[in-house]
Amino acid sequence: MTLFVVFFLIVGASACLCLSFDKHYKKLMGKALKSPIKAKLRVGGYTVLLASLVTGTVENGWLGLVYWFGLFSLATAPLPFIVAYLDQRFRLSERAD
Amino acid sequence: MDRENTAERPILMKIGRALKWLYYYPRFSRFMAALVGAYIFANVASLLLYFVFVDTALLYLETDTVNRALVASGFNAMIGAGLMSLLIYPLAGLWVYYAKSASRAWAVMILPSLLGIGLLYALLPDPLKQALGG
Amino acid sequence: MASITKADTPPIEYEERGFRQVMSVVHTWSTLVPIWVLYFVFITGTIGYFHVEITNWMKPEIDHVAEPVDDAVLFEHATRYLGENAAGATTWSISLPSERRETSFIFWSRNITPEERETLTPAQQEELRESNSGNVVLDPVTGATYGDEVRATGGGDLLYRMHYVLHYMPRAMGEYIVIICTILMFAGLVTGIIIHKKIFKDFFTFRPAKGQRSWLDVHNISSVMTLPFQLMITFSGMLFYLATIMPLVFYGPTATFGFDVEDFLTSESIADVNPKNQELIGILAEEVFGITPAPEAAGVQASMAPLSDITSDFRSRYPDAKIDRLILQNPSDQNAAATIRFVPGIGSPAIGVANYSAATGERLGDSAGERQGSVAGNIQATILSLHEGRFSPIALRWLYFLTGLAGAAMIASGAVLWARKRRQAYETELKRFAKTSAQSGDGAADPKVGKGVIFVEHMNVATIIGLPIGVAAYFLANRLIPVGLEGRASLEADAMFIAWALTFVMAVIRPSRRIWTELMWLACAAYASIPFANAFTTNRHLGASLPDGDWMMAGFDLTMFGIAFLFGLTAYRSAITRVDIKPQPNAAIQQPVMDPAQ
Repeated sequence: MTLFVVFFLIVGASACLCLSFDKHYKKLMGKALKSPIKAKLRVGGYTVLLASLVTGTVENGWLGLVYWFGLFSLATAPLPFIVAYLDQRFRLSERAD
Repeated sequence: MDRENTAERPILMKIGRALKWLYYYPRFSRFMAALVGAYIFANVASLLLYFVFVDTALLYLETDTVNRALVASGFNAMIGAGLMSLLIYPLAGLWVYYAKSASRAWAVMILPSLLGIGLLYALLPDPLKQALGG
Repeated sequence: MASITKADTPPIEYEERGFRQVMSVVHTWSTLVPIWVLYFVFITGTIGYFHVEITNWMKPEIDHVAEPVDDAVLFEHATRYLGENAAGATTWSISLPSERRETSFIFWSRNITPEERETLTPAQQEELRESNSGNVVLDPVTGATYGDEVRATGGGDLLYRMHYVLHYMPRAMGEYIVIICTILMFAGLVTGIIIHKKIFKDFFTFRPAKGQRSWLDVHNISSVMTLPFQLMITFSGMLFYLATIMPLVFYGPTATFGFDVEDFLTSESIADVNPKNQELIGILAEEVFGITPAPEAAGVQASMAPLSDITSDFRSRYPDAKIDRLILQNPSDQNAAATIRFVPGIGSPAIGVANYSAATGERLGDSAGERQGSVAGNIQATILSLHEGRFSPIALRWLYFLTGLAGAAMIASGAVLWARKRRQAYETELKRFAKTSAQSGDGAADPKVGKGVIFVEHMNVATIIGLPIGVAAYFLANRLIPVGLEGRASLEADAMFIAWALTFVMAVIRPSRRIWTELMWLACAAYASIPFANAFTTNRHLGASLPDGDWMMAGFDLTMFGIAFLFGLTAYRSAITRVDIKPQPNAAIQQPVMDPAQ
């Protein structure tokens, strides 16, 4: 149960952090990334990431840390492909600004 | 190599060719420095680290007596030194490629190693010297 | 024949290259040289995380145990069998059924006492050892043991073993090759981090349909996202062979307290080393690794306490820990000791060993917990356990499996990237040559692509797709080779390597534009046929295993279908993508070729 929570927290954190990049934000949202939003996304992303780490380790100890690294890889690795697929499928980067 | 002399001594010719190859192909020399030189460097470093980590009381014990706590500290020092030198080996190998030339790389790998061995011989109490030498 | 390297520009002098450029060269060559060995090591090692489950599937004669069984029942069967067949052994080991193995694996062995060492000849000692050693698989419910009716097979354990000793060569040779490749890989990882300039900026970047750039992105994603795992697995891989890589450090103990290194490294067992060394190794085991030695046999017969009492006591203290096996030293002796090896859970000691007196059922060792090893010993043991995925529940095991596959993807994409770069350089050179020779009309010969590039391209496809085909052939051979055939275990391994070798032949004779797709279809067919081979040769197929809840068998068959599906999907997508058709400039009108949905 905890692992699912950790996994989804990491997915959320990665999504925030991915959006905090200028090029990915522009591609997915169709408009330029403004500094306040960027800051919020960065802070939010790292906070949620830390929360996932704490959630994972507080119950499972060292084993939780091992799980966390594995879940981190599982959650973040598909993200670039998902972003690319969304861009291609919905032609997001070709929208008129 | 002088042809007239070496024609009668083919082995010299072979050695000459081999040396020339090493001289003219510094890449191979550098690669060997990374593979072998760094290996020697890391191994000597591991032994030196062992003596840094180990309980100094162990150095003055007769090798025949077995003091449980000191022996344990010795093994711990061995594992600690081994772990660190496993990192030192690849990093030294990478440094070899950072060095300005292959000869400089060799020098940095071999000279400190010789120095390290010499240091151990110079500083260790006599019973240990015999054990290392023997 | 013109050479295909950097044509007219003179090579940059080594000293003039920047640090990153030099590290890039080191990264390329330190990883390219061992690349296919590393791919083999990664694939077999990743498969090895499930070696127990694979061995289960490869021995379908061992029945499915539907209900978990009580410890008392299991131990009654086990001790009765051992009492009848292993009375002369000094060590009995009884594994408990778990989520990974439904049956109990029992083995027994004989230690030679110091008195026997003095009175008996080496040949007699060997005979004593051999005749009192053995193993058997026990059905925990019925107490029946499995003998010759189970097919001889290397199982998943052989694949796992290939991971560090390779195959068809002496063990030491295979280990040396793997050690050198591991060191080169570690250098490759470190240089890869150094040369990856925009490691954070590129973190979520994937540029599809851009040829080399796309492969570089795949290489970056598979390595950076799993970087902690890759660093851990490589460093820990080196740590297994500390004695080979750093032999000099072992002479520190020799110099300071007379530890005999050669004796230690060359002896078969602890009983073979000289007495002084035995004492020192005992200290190493106890103080550094926290292993409590079993008390020596008293030589007095005594009845044993019920083993299930011992396991109940253990379970009541540490309900979250999972018992892996129970080891009895000197059974039926007054000083008989029962050691429980367990997978630590929350609240249980991290060192997975608990000691009991087998005669009285009482715990040995202090009440505050089991003896803890030293910091250095624990660090080493932890690093090695991380490599093997010890203490891993099934979910974590799957995570290990997926990150291991990511490591294989990292290696594969690196190999493909190198080949594509060289191929691209050749095509650029060819264009330039065509232009200049058309202008000058000198009729010089066309530049030829380097033999090294062609070799790498063939090896790439034959290894990246061919090795999985070989593994599929290994599983198929397990089902298709007759059960009673002499030497079938090594024939299964031969089938794997023959299939792999044939993919290399295919890579040479088939056109390079089609070979990837063709081999992927072949892999799809090979993996899809495994559950069918299972159905035609055994009664443990999906039609039986799914209704029975036999997840050992069903899980494997379903995974094979899953792998077949993935290969098929990739083959389909690669077939519809043509590298020679470039997307038209007006993308709003033209459909991109890589999207089959539109």
